[in-house]
Amino acid sequence: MSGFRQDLAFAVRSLLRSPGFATVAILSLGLGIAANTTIFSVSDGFIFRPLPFPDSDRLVEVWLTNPAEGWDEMSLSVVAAEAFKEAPSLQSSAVFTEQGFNLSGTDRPDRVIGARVEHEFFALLGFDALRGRLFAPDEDGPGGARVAVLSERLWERRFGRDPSTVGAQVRLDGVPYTVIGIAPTALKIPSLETDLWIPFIPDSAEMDPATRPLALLARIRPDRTIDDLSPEVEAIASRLGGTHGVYAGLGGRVETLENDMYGPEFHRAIMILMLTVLFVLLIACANLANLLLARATGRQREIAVRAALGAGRGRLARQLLTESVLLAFLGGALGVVLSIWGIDALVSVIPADAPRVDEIALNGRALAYTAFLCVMSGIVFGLAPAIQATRPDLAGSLKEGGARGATTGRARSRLRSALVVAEVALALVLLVCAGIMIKGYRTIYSGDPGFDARGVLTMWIELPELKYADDAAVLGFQERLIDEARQLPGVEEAMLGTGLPQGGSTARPVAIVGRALPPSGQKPMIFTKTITPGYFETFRVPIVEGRALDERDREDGRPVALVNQAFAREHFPDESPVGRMIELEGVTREIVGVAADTRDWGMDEEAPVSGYLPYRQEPSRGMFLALRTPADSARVAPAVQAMVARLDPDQPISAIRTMEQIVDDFASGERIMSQLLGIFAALALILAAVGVYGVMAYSVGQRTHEIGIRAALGAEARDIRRMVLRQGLTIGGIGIAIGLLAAAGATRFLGYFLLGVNPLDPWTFGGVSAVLLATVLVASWIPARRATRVEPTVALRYE
Amino acid sequence: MTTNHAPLIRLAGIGKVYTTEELETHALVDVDLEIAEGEYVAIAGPSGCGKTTLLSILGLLDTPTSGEYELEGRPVASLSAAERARARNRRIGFVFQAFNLIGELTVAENVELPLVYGGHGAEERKRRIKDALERVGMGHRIKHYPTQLSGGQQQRVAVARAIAGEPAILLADEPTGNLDSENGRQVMDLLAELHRAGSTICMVTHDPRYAEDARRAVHLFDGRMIGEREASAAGVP
Repeated sequence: MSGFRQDLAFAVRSLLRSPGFATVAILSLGLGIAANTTIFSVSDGFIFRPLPFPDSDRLVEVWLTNPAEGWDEMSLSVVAAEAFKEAPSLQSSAVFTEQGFNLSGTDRPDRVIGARVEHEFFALLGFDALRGRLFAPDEDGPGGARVAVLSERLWERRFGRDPSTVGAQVRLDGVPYTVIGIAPTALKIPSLETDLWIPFIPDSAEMDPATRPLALLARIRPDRTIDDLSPEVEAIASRLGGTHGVYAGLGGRVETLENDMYGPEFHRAIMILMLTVLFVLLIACANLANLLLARATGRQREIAVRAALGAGRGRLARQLLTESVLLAFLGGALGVVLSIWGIDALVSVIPADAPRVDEIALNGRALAYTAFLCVMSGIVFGLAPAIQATRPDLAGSLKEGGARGATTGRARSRLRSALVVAEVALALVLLVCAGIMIKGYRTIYSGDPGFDARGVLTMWIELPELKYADDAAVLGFQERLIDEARQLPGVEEAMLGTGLPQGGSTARPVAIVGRALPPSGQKPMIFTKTITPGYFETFRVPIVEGRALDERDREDGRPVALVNQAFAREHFPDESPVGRMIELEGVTREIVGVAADTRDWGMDEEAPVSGYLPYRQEPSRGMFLALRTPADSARVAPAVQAMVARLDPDQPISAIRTMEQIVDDFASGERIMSQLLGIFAALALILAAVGVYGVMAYSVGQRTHEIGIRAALGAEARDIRRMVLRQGLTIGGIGIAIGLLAAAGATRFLGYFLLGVNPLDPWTFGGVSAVLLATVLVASWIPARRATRVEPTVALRYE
Repeated sequence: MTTNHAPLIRLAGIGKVYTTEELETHALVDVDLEIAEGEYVAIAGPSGCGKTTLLSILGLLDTPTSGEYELEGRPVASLSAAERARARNRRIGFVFQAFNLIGELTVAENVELPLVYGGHGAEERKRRIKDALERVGMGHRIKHYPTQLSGGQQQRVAVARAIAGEPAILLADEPTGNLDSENGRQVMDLLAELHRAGSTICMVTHDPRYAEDARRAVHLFDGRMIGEREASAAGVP
């Protein structure tokens, strides 16, 4: 132990004596470790840590699928859910469905996200009530009770943690419910924002096998696996197809709850980021090893003296490893400090509704991971220099000047060059991957989405059934709302719709009147939105044929619909659809116009086959209100809130966002990925440049005598400069060549994140190689200039 | 002067002062020297007397602080750095005490180095490498690396490198300093042979035995020339 203390004390003194070396090494490692700690913390919050439920790996969700349409996550009807519950591999299960509620009965109306769940839901997830109780078996299903469980967050936000909340009444969409319990904060199912749960009591519409609003959460029996369950679910889906025509051709699918939360692309993104930051750390570690090798060369005599005084090789190596591990821990400490900022910065750009985003933090696991990285970096990358340094030519090193017949240290020089080659290769791989992602992102998102998101403010307004009991009441409020909204100062146009561009469509089967069904017997699907007049003006979507929906399209008028160009291409490739009839859920509608396509599923997807229905002919309680303004649309939000309060003081509005925010969040995954890869690739480039500069500067220092000899033999400054630059470019060139080969393999791993770019895109590969070569040239230039200043008289110096 | 030839090198009143923050060291003081074409001159004296400083000024590796230096009748003070490099390459050959071969290059590549800097064509370089190495008896080692050779062999290669460019003068700085007596003798015999073949040689040595190999010996002490003598050793023309 005292030996270790001695080593540590000497290592500290030694680093204090070389502040320049210590600063560069600590900074290099600090940046590399900060990148790793940040990404580990984010990954840990999202997926590494198990879900906060007992045996969470046995929790699954069951879905219907439509292989013909390529849909793998279709919700369930009551009939389907009850059928899937019978799968022998299931231990327990619970139906649930998300639903928004207008919460009143407190000081102000509020829109909250809730869920209707069967009583088994809580036990399935292993939760007890924080206060009060959860649902009893007789409280769900037909004839169930009007009781509610609040989230701890809502209890705190709206009720100030008042104990008397349990037993009190709240009104949800105007209907009174008794609060029977408070659920702990950790219960964030179905979503992070779920604030209350009520029992699932199906209404008559939901009992229709064609109505599919439900999800099924289930727990697999301890002696079974998901592989046992999957064929059972498939078989049940097949049987359903035989008994209910609406399920013909559909399949069943099981997914673990965790995978269902994130999906395979998210896991791939995390893997890519983890590998990326590991590469950055490897580059930083290569710099550390190079610095240690250079330092060991300068300490040859000190090491030889220690050896001559009886220090064994192991003892010497331990001394040197103590220094490298100390450096790594100092770098790690810097990395942890930087990662606190990095995590905050990253969390601030992740959409707030991302699952488990609130669990992302620098915790004990992240610190343990950082400590592991420090130890590994210090030992693995300190080992080679320690081995090299403790293999001294004892007699030679102790002689004045040592042997000088020919320049020495070729093996050490090769190791240093090899490390830089690896750095350049790794940096190139990262730069190419980042370059391809950024190119894909830019290509896609610089395109035309088909609508103009600038200057549009949106919000959600859902009218409670109790207060707005029939269509007349709903339409009456919505007409007043849209009229008043259009009168607000600074509002150019306003509209109501069940959906916005990029969200809110309803998939429905459609038939073209006069045409036979396809051979499968399944009607094709159309994604519809119900809208008021003003939709296309608000979002500046052109009508390319026929007319827009307008005030003529009343509830007592002829049923009409508007379709988009994708619909026209799909169903009327050689003729105009205007004037043709379609059948939607039993209603025959005339197509009165064709709107331009909008990329509703994101810029990387084609426009879906879509239709628009007049709001008077298909009223809906829940509608988005969107307002076009000439400039900063968020500024009209208070005026809109005041207007709604004037119309109905109990009516909450929610999800107030600009359309630009919605578009931005829609692509947030790709944007964050390309930004992060870009940042880490830039970091890799800087570290690689430091590596090249370090090696070249060291090499020039080591070759001072040789350069003097060359000068004595008649080499001019340009000869010397060319020689040094050639060495740098050779190292860089080999690194680039290896990197290109590695990148050709790595880009295929990007999968979805290629975003349509050729994985061997010659412009990206060529551009990145040129940037890297230029960086190597710049990094070699300063040492090259220094080399030209070597005096030829050094050739005559024997010492 | 003891030669009838026109002087290849003429030094007049050469002085060299090294200045540090606290100290001014006079390495050379008022040195006059002429070396004619075909001469073999030894610069002798104890350690620290200024021999190497004088050689570095002669070889255009360093500049004097005072005095005049003419090489082949041309003052060198006005030469630019590039012209000095060219003059070193084309008119002067160096043999160093520590051989100064480059470890990463083969014997042939080491000899080729001044020829590359001199802009000679590939064929010409090949011929001169072969000739130079054969003259020093190292023609059979062209693909070896310096570390694979003995000290004596390394110094022979260094001599080959010095003569490959066919310089006007060969400057040798303690060429036997790193060799045992047998190898030292062989190198001295090689220099004598080159002199007999017409080379002009100026050698720095602190060993009186080797100083006698030269036709003329100049003695330095504390940076000043304190004497000069004609050599009479056998084998010296």
